[in-house]
Amino acid sequence: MIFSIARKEFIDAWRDGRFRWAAAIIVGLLGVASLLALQQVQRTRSERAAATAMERENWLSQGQKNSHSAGHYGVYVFKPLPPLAMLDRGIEPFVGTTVFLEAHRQNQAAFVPAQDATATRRFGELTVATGLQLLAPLLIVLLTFGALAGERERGTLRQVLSLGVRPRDLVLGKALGLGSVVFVLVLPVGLFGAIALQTFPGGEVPGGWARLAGLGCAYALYLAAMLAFCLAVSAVMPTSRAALAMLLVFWSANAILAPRLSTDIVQRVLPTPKLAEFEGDLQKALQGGLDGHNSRDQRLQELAQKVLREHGKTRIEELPFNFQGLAMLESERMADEVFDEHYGRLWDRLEAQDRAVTWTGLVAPLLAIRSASMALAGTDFTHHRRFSVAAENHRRAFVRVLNENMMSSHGGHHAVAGRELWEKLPAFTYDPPLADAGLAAAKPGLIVLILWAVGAWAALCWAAPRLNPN
Amino acid sequence: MFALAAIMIEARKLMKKFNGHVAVNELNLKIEAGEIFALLGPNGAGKTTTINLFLGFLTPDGGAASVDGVNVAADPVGARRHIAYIPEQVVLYPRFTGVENLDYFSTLAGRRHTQEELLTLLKRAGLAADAAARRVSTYSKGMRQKVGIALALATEAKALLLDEPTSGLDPAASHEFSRLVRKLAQDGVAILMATHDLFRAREDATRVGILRDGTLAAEYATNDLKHVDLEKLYLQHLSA
Amino acid sequence: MSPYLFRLELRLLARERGVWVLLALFAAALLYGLGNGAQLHARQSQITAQLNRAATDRAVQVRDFLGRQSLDAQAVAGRGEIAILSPAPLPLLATGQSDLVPGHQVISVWNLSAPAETRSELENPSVLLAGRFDLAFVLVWLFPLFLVAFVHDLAAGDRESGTLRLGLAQGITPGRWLAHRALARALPVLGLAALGTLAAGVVSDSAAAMHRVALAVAVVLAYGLFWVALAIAVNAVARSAAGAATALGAAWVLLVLVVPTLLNVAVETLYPTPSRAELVAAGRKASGDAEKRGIELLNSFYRDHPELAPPDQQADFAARHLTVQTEVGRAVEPVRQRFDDQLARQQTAVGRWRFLSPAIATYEALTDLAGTGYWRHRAFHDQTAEFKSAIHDFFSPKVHQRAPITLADYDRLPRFAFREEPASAWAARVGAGVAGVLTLTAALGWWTWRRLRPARAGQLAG
Repeated sequence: MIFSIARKEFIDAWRDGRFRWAAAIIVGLLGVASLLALQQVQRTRSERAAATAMERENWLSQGQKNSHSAGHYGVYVFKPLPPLAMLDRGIEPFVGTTVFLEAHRQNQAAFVPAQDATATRRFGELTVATGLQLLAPLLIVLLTFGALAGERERGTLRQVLSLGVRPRDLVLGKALGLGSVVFVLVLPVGLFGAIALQTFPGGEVPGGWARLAGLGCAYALYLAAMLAFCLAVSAVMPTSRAALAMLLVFWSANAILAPRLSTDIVQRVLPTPKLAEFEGDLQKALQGGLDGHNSRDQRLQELAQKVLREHGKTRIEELPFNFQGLAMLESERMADEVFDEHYGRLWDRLEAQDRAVTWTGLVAPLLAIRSASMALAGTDFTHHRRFSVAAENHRRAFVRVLNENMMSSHGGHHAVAGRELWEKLPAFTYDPPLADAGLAAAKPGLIVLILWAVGAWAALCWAAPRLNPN
Repeated sequence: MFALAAIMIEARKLMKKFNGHVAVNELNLKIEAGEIFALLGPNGAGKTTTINLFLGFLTPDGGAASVDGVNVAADPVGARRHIAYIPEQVVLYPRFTGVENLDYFSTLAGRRHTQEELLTLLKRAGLAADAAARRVSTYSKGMRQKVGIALALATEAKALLLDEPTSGLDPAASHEFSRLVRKLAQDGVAILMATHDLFRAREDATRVGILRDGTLAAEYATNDLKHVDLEKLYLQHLSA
Repeated sequence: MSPYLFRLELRLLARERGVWVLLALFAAALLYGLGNGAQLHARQSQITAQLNRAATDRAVQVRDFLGRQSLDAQAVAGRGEIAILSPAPLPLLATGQSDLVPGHQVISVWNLSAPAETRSELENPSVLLAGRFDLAFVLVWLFPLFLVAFVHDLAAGDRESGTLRLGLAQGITPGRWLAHRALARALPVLGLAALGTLAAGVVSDSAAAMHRVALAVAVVLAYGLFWVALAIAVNAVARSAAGAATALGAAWVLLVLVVPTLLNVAVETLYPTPSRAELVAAGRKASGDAEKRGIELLNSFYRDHPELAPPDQQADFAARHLTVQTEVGRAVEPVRQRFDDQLARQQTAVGRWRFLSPAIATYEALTDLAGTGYWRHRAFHDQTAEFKSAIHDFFSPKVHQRAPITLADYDRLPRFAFREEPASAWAARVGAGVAGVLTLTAALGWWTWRRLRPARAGQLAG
């Protein structure tokens, strides 16, 4: 029974000319978006890889110089774009792509792509993710608003129920039939992702398959929740016009209003610190240490006393190593503590904000799928933070090597190093986190989506036996 | 009494086809001021199509319909200014009162009336003041028809087109409605009434025409007829 | 135009359920958008004020010191001079790019090639991704939705119920009736939108800002009229109220959501900007080369500028560093230029094709009027580049001659003051935007007017 109803719904939907048009437009848009995104991701990745190679060459051939000067010469590292950014670009356009690693300072990633774009970028981007998050639910609204309310208006619902069809079977059959329509439309996107991943230049993408499967599940949950919710509304509303009005209001609140309103409210509850305050605190801590009592100079003085005592010398020139190098090492270590503390706190705050926005997805499911989708694609803030931390660790390692070299070399500021030392410093390679990290970041979003799916199907099952034929 | 009355509603060789099917076939019709012409005929005979042609809601495929000498196809808006139209169901805006509806529709017709005038018009149409001040959503069908009559009075129409006006009215309401229509005719309005109601046609109309497949099969003056005759004639023409 | 009919239509509207709720929601959205804009504006002016204060304090310190003794150029040039974009003339109207593109830049002769300052404020990137709930959002995104809610059913519902037949039988022309009805129903929404736009001018009191506000109201009304004309056109053909609502909703999705992203994709594909990574790598390569050739470069420099060579012919660190920086600046200039040119081409293409969707044209016009759009930031960018070379030209001779800076010299140090675009420039762009939207509206109106000829009333009445 359920299957014959589903079959009828499926055929019915395909025979609707307007639906075919809407579906063709949406599938066409998704196709264009996918191909362009794939091309763009590949181009960006190869550009950044080329720049990384060139930068390594610059570093190696910088010539003879003092190792601390080399620390100031520094290294640029470029963020590799995750391959699944072809499906969901996430926050990538709004975070820096390039980090300058130098002695003494933890720099923030520079060159935000959105700064280098026209203002129409702020209308949003056409990606597979936005297509599935915004347009697919709209298609579901158009498919379902009349599914039950319309039959009631035309009187066919009375006829069907008078034949002895159980209301629950009717509703589930419709859900199954319309669900298959949506599935058939979305399937090419999944296939595209799989083919793109399989043929991705540069070999296998670590964790790519698991992430793609996760994305598939997340979107299945989202669209299933939408389908059940829309059908439930159509079952409850007296007329198809009322159902359409209600669903369009829900759609625009979910897709248009919620993202801005929710981030805005979360910003009020969990505000981001002001840059001036952040920098002020950071500078104070760098000067005075984390506890704010011992100044930097004072602590270096203490270090000198301690080292002299240990070696039984009275003047630092008598030490068996270059004290300047040790002082540099020590002051870097102290600065690193401060950076860890301050940036850690800032980033924790940003992650807390993102999590809070995800939980508001309980009201507007778009926020949940957006967060889960970005996390699984590897384009959310958690992944960006991982990259920033990796870059910072590389900076520390490389500054330490330079300072150790300085410590062991006599001649202080005038000692020079060459290519031999530069080659000892490894090139920066970033191993993007595997699928489990993506899954962990996506967890709150996935939980909200599961709640939505369960809730919407429960609502549908509640509404079905109460279906009013008149 | 109206020997010299002008021809208000006229069809000359009026023709309308839908996808090759002839709905109105070379219809000739002349209705003078003060006359009530009842157009009889089964469903699909072309009664409503004829009314739509007079309203200019359809463009004729041949011939011409004119109202007070104005060719409807050439100047539909000008023709409509002379017409009052009461459909089978007078549909009004449910959230407006009777007075407000009358005000609104007569404004659409380019006529403005004061509140007192509107109330008087409704009273003349048989609607009491307290009913006129109520929202239309509470009205019965007969009351809505009365607002339609009041609208005809308000626009001082010279031609009244009635499409099945009494179907679904109870006998008392039907009688009341006929009285109002006859009153309008006495005041010099030419009336074309499409109806199934042979009794009312015989009672109210000055002439009846029997429409069959878009052609006017017969035309009688009601003074020459008894009720029994009309029914017999009607059935004869249909089975022929 | 019949004012009485207009009033009756308004009364009919007022009797509908939900009208007041919708209007209250729209007013609330406008107020919320204005409030958010005000908050953001306060934050940005605070930053600007802080930066200005810091710059002034430093200038006072330096002058104070120079009053007692002269300083060498290296010390004065050390921390760099700051270029600050003055606050936008109508910040409440649209946030635009102001939360993304930094409003200040520190310019130092020692670092002419480093990446520009990339931020003025800490911001969660997902806030930028979602966009701001500002007045421009309410006006460009939500305003048409509210309008559609009011005017989607101009005739279709009446046709379903039958009132349309009765009304048209009264002899009013269909076009006239629909126009009255559409304008009457749109009036409250248009009025609120215009009021909200006017309110964006409350923080500014200058006459120029008032001109901008007036033009902004024109932009908003033209955009609203476009949607009204579209609603009339849809109603001229729609078979049911639900059909009309669906068609208008689809038009909204297409014009506000889809077309802008497609235009985006198109301009970025047609005029791709060179990668920033390439810019960085080019700069690095140049600076590495230049550093290695430092002495040699300096010698050749003094060959070209003997008047600047110090008496002892010995290049010191500062002079060499400056030469290297100059050389790096020169090396990256072509890449930077290519980048700026491509971006300008993208923006020009957006300007040309913005009429594909009135939403783009309106957004561009509003950000332009607010002073937070591409063009004002571009002007800042260009003026900063000029300032950079002025600073360089000021310090370069002093550094090379090892000449100290005196108080008199310091008073001649170029100071950055942002020069606003002439009113004619933005007025022309915005005027073209309004004219374009009105042309689209007129075209729709003409088409509808032909559809609604009185002879076709029957088709409309159904």
